[in-house]
Parts: sequence; structure tokens; C-alpha cells
Amino acid sequence: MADLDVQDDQTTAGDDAPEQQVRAGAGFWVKVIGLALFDAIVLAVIPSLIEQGATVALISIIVGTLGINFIFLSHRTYAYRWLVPGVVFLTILMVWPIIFSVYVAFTNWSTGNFLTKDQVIEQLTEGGLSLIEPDDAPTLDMLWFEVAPGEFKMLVRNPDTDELFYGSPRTVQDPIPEEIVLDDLEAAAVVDADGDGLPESIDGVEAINTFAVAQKIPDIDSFILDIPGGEARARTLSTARLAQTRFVWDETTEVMFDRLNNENCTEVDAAFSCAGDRINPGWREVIGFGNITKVATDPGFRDPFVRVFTWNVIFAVVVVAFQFILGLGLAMVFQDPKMKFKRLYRSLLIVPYAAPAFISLVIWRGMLNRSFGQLNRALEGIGSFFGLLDLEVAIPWLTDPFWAKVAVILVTVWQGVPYFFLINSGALQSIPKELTEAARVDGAAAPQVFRKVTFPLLMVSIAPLLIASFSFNFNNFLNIFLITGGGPPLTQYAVPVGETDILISFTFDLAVESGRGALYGLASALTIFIFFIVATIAAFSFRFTKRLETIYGNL
Amino acid sequence: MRTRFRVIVGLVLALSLIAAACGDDEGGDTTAATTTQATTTTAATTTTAATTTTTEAATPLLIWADDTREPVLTQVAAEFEAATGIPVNVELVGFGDQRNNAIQQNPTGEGPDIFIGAHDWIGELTANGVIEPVDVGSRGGEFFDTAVSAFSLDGQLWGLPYAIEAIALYYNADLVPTPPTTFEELITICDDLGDSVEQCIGFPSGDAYHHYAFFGSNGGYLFGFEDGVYDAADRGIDSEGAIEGFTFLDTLVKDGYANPDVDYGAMAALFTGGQAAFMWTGPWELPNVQDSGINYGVAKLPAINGDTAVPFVGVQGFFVNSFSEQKALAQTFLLDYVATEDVMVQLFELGQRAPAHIASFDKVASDPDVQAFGASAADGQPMPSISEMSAVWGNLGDAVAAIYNQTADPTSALQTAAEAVTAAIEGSG
Repeated sequence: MADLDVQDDQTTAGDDAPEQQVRAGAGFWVKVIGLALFDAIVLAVIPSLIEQGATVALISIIVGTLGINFIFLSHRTYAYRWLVPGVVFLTILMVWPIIFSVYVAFTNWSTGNFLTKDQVIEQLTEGGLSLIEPDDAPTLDMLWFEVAPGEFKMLVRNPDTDELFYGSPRTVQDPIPEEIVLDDLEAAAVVDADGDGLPESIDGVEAINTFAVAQKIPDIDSFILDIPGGEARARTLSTARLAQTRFVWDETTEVMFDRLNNENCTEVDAAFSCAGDRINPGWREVIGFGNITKVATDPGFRDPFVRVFTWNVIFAVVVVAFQFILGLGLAMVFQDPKMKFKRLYRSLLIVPYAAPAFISLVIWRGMLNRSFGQLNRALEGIGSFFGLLDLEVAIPWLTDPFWAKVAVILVTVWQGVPYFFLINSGALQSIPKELTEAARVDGAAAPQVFRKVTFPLLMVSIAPLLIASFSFNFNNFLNIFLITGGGPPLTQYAVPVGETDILISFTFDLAVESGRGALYGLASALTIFIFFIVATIAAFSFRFTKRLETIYGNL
Repeated sequence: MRTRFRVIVGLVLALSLIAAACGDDEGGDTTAATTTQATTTTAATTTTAATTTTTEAATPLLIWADDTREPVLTQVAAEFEAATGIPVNVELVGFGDQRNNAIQQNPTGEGPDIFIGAHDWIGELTANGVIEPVDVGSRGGEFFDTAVSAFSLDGQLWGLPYAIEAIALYYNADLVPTPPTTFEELITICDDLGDSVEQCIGFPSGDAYHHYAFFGSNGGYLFGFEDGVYDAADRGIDSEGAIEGFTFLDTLVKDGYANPDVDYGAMAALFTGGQAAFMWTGPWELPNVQDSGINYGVAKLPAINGDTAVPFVGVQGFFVNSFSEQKALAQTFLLDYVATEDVMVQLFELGQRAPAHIASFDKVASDPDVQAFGASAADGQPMPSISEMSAVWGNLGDAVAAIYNQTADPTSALQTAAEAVTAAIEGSG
């Protein structure tokens, strides 16, 4: 398709092209149909977006779709066609999450502050979260009557007193009426043939069957019948609870009134405070730099942060160094023409890299167990082979602070060596033989050739990959999480943190199990710090590699 | 000209496709549209009477359930639909995922109408406002008091309790003819067995939940509890009884009866493989043990330091999403269809968790496993459900891990944990 399209466009560069060129190729039709399908999908999504009131998403989707259509249909924007999908996915998968994380870092988003303020007000004033219920409140029997098509009346019966209350219910959004208005059942023709105290019909209107209620009145939850002693609202489809709405929100003054204590509530820390008590749930709001200053200045976070950061840098540096050195060593061994069974070894070496990390890491975790793990058993076997019989190896790989660190480094190095073996093999082969031979002719010994010629040339192509690998291992959440889970725990800090935690796993713990519920705001603030740390390191390293390139790139 | 031609072709095609797409969608969309319309109409005309447009197709109820409840609930759902015409969709969601998923998805309208959880989630769920009180009315007496009080917070019942669980002592009946009632007896049995088993007692090392029995049996407590209300300011994490109990655990570790290298998975594997004489865990492991074909028995936890063992009691139940559009319908489903002997017994048979519903419990009480777990639970304490509990789990777990790894003595491990909990609750800044 691509080829056809290119030809098509190149041969007709302008609008004044001969008319017969209009006969479009198959590629053109594929494009038109593809674009039409895309537009159709977008248009199918738009109604639901309008319904949900997602304005930002709606505008960006409309603008984006129009832009894509223009780019694909216009000649002048031809080159951008191949960039568009990349840019779109970059925006959705990278730019948007970054913007969102930054936004969250400036909010109090955490357990107890999950909802928006509107949702909190709705829950408190309309929902069943905060009702004042008398201790001995009876469960009322409830029936519904369709007095006119689409017009319903509600009947409740107090089973303790056999009293019946009948009338038109209001919705939860309506103001609480000054006085109770009910229909007079004395004057109505009430038929209770089976004598269970619940009428089968009132004024000739039959009661709706319990389950038909759910279908006829889907929003049954939102109705209230005011009766003496409180508000009757549906509990199930056939019963009602007698309670009183505790909170009333004044739209104009924006004040919450507490009917239990008969006073206005204040707003403290993004939640209503009524008579001195915090009312759950609270809402989320932008709190500015609070989270960021907390990470930077609060010793409860700063101290573990510094400790984790130090280990994080050590971990990433050591891991990348070993991966690189071992990978390079292997690559050089494989360069040797005398080496036999290269293909077999090479296939075996790829295994750690090719095996899904989820599986291999969990297996490693088992192998590292002190008493039952194969690693200690294997070491014992090696020990006895070398004559150190009855040597009991009990290295606490997962539970000792030092050995746990060794364990995560060991496994991560094991995982990454094949990658460096592969890229080093490629890079070594791309170094011109003449250069090393010339050096040998000039009288350099093998180590000298390696140090002065091979290695610098190798670094030109490998250095950027070392940086990438460093950034990757700096944020190697999976390995830490699956091998040690960050443990063994460091108990002297108030936040959950372990000896092998790196910044990203520390952030994860903070976000999901901080001991104070989920602290998304604070965790996002931490990720901003991590971003700047990684970005700074990467920037420095790239500047360094650039220098390498200017020195050796011309060779 | 060419460009124009292309634009036209594209637009025509696009429009025709849209028309086709909309045509197909019509059936599905009308329900939503009429429902919205119904709501607005009722709001506008309530002074006269509640009005609503009749919709023939009812919106289905959505339930999240894990694999130990999903099959039973799917069956109940079918019965419910046959009786009422209202469809119920049961979606398989892992037990551990339900809490966070509910917190995140309920407010966005993506959540279920009903989900299943443990009573100790209630603090966090209510702090986030994502569950609705469940009103069992006069039927509270049909459930064990422990279950009802575990599901209550601030004077409200926050879910329909259905199962009570606590850990007990599994034993390999081939190796142990009569189960021990005290730890002294247990240790004697282990000493007699000697090297014939890999690890005599399997404890899931480093886990706070399973080791609460040591913490609580000699008088340790987490939060003060009076008149059904927890006092988060009265914390007993480093109380004398707790230290005494953990010192006992420390001795077990030192003497090798409790092994730091046996985690939950290793424990289950050792026991089902006949390599452990005892296992220290709850009824959720029962289906696995039964499948292994091992000759097992379950006994009440042995006395610790001469005191009756006090394990954590967990109560599981059904929660109603406070953002659900059909709370009354959800409650009808729970009260009239789930809270019945039949369904409760079926749920027991699938998940092996003792019913919280008294009549159903009586039906299955003859089962010796149920009796043993029940006896353990009867002496237990419900896990505190207040949101401050989330500060305890990690720190208490760290203390247990420290004892297992012998990196701290029981007193300092618990004092460190107590300080960390205080810092977390009072907010160290």
C-alpha cells in the first residue's frame, strides 16, 4: 500500500495534474477506507463522551481526529503521515501519564481524600452514608402504586403499629419540606383482601409487583416519602428504612448544615468538620507544593529517601558494570576462532534474557531460600566436591541485609549479561580489523591494543546503551519486587521501606501500603524527584558520550 | 481537484459507515437515554407525583466475586433472573484486588453494585466513601454476633456478613494420632518425631496475620476496645502481654520449631507433601489440603504459654457500592437471595469458610473441620476494622520478620513497631 501511495503522490505533485491521474490505486482506497473506519469509531465514541461530560477528552479527540484527517488527506502534510501514529501513542502512553502524575503530586489524593468535592456533597446529602437513624427504627413495608402512566405514589407500613402512610414521594435532591403532606387513606378505597395489613389496591389502582418495581422505577433509590418520625426511603424493593438525612448543602452560601447537631459544618483539611468531628469521606484538592516540600524536608521521608537513593545508585552502577564486563568478556571469548560449539553456547546464553522475567524471578526467589533453596544446596555440593566435606552452607540470601543486596545484584546481572554479550559481539565485529592489526604492527601488546584501540571504539557505540541500561536498572521495579519485595525491612523509619528497596519500589510501597492507606499525592511527588535524578544522570552521561564521539567518531 | 476528490470520497465513506454503526447501536443506546430522561422528568414534576418512564429492559446488577464464590453466585444470579426478570452479571475479580479496584472504580461509575471483602477493609472503604450501609433490619439476629459487630463501624452495619474464619492447627493424622492442646504437648510430639519430618510445624514466617495468635494470647492488644468502639489513641503494640507472646515465638525460632525460611508457599508444600506434621493456617487452605489426599485433621490452636490462643478472626461479607444506581435492588438480592440457608451452605461447600449465618452454620456444624475452625474462632478477636489498622499490618509484620530473622529481640522489635505505628497514625509531619 505504501509503495503505491508514494508513486501516486510523486507523479502528481500539483493540483493542475491531468484529470486521468485521478484514477487512484489500491493503496488510495485502503487509505480512504482505513480513515473512514477510524472516523466512524471516533464518532461512535463521541456520544458517550458527551453523556459523561468529559469535555477535555472530547475536545482533544475531535481536534486530534480532524488533524489526522487533514494530515492524511492533504498533500502538503505528506511527510507527517508516518509520524502521526507515533506522536499519538507517545501522547497517550507517555505525555499524558506524566502530566497526570505531576498533577497528582500537587494534590492531597490519598486514602480519605479520593472523591471530588461534588461527589462528597452528593454522598453526604443524597446517599445512605450519613443518615440519622433512631435506635429502634422499624423496617417499614413498602409498596408502589402507578396512579397515572409514569406517575407513582409510595405506601409504607409500620409493622409495629400497623400504621399506613401514603403519598407522593419527593426526590433526594428536593428540599426537605416544612410540613408533611400525605394522602388521606381514610377517604380512599383501600382493599386489603388477604388482611396482611398491606393493601392490594388503593382507589382502584393495584400495587406494583415487587420486582416490577425495579423495572418500572429504576431510580427507586432516589425517592423519599416524608412521614411522621422521619423520611422513608427504599431499603430493598419491598421494604423501606426510616431515617433522617443528616446533612443539607446550601448551594448559595456553599455551607454544609448538620441536622444532628443543628449547626453549620466547617471545612478542615479537605473534609467537612461537624461539631469537631471529621466527616468521612473527604475530597481531593490541589494543595500546591505540600507533598514536594514534605519529601524534601520532612526527616520521616527524607532520611529513608536518602538511604534508598544511595543503595539505588550502587545497585544500578554495580549491576550495569558487571553486566557489561561479563558480557564483553563473553563476547571476546566468542570472537576467538578456536572456540567450538559457538552456536550451542550462544543459544544457552540467551536463555536468561529470553525467559519471561516474571517466571525466572519467581524461580530465583525459591532457589535463594536459605534452607530449601537449590543455590545453597548447590554450593554445598561444590564444597564437598572440593573436599570440604560436610560443609553446611546456610547463606541467608533473602533475609540478611548484606546477602539480600548480593542476591538482587546477582540475579539482575544474570538477567542482563546476555544482552550485553549480544551488543558487544556486534560492536566488536564492527571495529575494523585494520586498526587493531595496525596497532599490533606498531608493536602494541594485546592488552594495550584493547585498552587504546578496541575499548574506546567500542564505547562509541556502547556508551549510550550503558546509559539506557543504567536508567532501566535504576528503575528496575520488577526485580526488586519479585526477588526480595524490598526486604528485609528497615524498621527504624515510619514509612515502609526495606534494605533492598530502590526509589521506585519505595514509591510503590508508599502509594499502596504506606501505613496510612494509599498516598498517591506523596508518591507522585517522589516520582518527580526520581525523574529529575534520572534525567540529570542521563544528561551528564550523554554529554560525556558526545565527547567520546567527537574524539573517536572520526577514526 | 484531486485533493478535493479524495476529501469527498473520504467523507462520504465515513458518513456511510457512521450511519451503519449508529443503526446497529440503536437498540443498546435507548435504554441509557430513556433512563436519563426518566430521572430528569421525575426531578421536575415531583410536586405532583413521582413520574418515571417505563423501561422494559432492566439494567443488570453487577457483582464482583473471586473464584471461591463466583460459581455459586452465578447460579444464584440465574435463579434471581428467573424469578424477577432482572439479569445479574457476576464478574471474576481476585479477592485481593477487590478493595483497591472498588476504591478506584466505584466513584467513576465503573464499579460493581456488589462486591465481596473482609471486614477489616471497612475502615478504608468508609474513609473513601465507596460503600453503603446494609440494613438487615430485624434479621441481624440470624447472624453470629461476632460477624455483625465485625461489620459494624460508627453504629452502622457496612455489609452483609457471610463467613467467619480464623486460623487453626492442621495436623497430619498419620504422624500425630491425637492433636496437642498446648504448645508443650506440641513440642513433645515434635521432639519425638525428630528427623522423620523436614519441618515439624509450618508457620508462614514473617506474616502479621498468622502470628497475631502469639501477640494476643498473653494479653497483647492492638487498640483499646470498649462498647463496640475502637480507641485508636490507646495502642498496645508494645504492651507486656504482646512482648510475652512474642518472646515465646522467639524461643520457638531459636529452638528451630519455627523456621524463617518457611514462607506460606513452602509451608503448604511441606504439609501437603507429608514433610510437616503441623500447619498453622486457616480454612482457605482446606481445599488444597483435601486435594493432596493427605490424611489430615484440624484442631483448635494449642494454648500458648498456658493461655488460650487468641487468633485474629476475619469476617467476610458482601458490600454495596455507594455509587451504585440500584442500591435497593442490590440489597434485595443480598437479603432475599444470598442470606438464605441454601446459598450460605453452597458458599461454604465451595470455599470451606464457616458460615456467619447461624442456621446455615448449624447445618454444616457436624463437619469436624468446621468445628475445629469454629472453636479457634470462638476464642479469637475480630481484626480491628478502623482505618488506623493499615498502619499496623506492615509494622507488625516487620516485627515478626525481625524475630524470625533474629535481628531484634522481641521487646525492641515491638517497641520499634509501636513507634512506627504512632508516627504513621499521628503523621510524622
